[in-house]
Amino acid sequence: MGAESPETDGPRLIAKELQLEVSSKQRTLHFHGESMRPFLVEGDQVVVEPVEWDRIRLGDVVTYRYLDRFPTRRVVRKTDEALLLWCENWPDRTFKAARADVLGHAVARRRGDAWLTASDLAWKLARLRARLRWRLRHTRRVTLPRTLRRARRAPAKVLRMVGLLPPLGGK
Amino acid sequence: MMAPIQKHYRVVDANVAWRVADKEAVLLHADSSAYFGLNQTGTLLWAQLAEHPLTLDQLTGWAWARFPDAPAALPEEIADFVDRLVEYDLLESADTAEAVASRSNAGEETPPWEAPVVERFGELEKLILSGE
Repeated sequence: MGAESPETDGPRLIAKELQLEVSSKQRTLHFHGESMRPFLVEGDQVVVEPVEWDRIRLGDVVTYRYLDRFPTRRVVRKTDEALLLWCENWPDRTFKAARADVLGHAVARRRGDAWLTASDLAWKLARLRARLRWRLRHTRRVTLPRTLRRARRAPAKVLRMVGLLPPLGGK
Repeated sequence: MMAPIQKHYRVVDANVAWRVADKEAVLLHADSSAYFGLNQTGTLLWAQLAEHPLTLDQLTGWAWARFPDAPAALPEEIADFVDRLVEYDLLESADTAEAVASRSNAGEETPPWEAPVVERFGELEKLILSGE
């Protein structure tokens, strides 16, 4: 069976979130999947620390609650109430996390015997590289096409303004 | 004059994380990944112990003030509760002469007394983070 009774599902989920709070180099968390490759790969050991909303920066890797899972993804946009997240190895998809669901940010990673921490240059470069990749991709797929669409409409708009074309809507 | 040496109980902060949801606490023992639930009375007692170390007498005194209608078995029920917490390595005891001012109960809602209970739910496996 393996299914938990409804009475213990709530406490179990809370306890899992507490596991995040107490993670440390001695109590690491296991990363699963390939979506964050190359920064995080299957089997990496990760330390996640609670973080205040104001201290979350673009490029951070954050963990949030989603049902009974704990997705861990990179921040590419931030508003007052939510984060837009992205996985380096799934470049076509983005995800949204509400402020209340964000549990912490990754501060260290162990792969084999090697530790990488948020203060290391390689960590900072990975953050920068991911941000640039996201920005370039976003520009190519969203910003540039939108600008071109506007540019194509611009001559007609000018002609309408000087009265050489009838206004839109037939007025 | 020196205060008499008494056994104080305190939360093992380095090894216990906890959170209250719906007035009942969930506790995680970080090293073993065992997790526990406290009922409402247990949660109130735990919150006292988390605030500062207390002797059994101090904790019982606080409970009498908070639950004036509690049954006469209150001291034994609290002692059993504390014993269980120590057994689970959630509380530790130390002999100390440290004097602790008891906290006021003013303005706090008082639920009916029920024997404090700690229930061990089980152990968690290592937490898995996923990008997928």
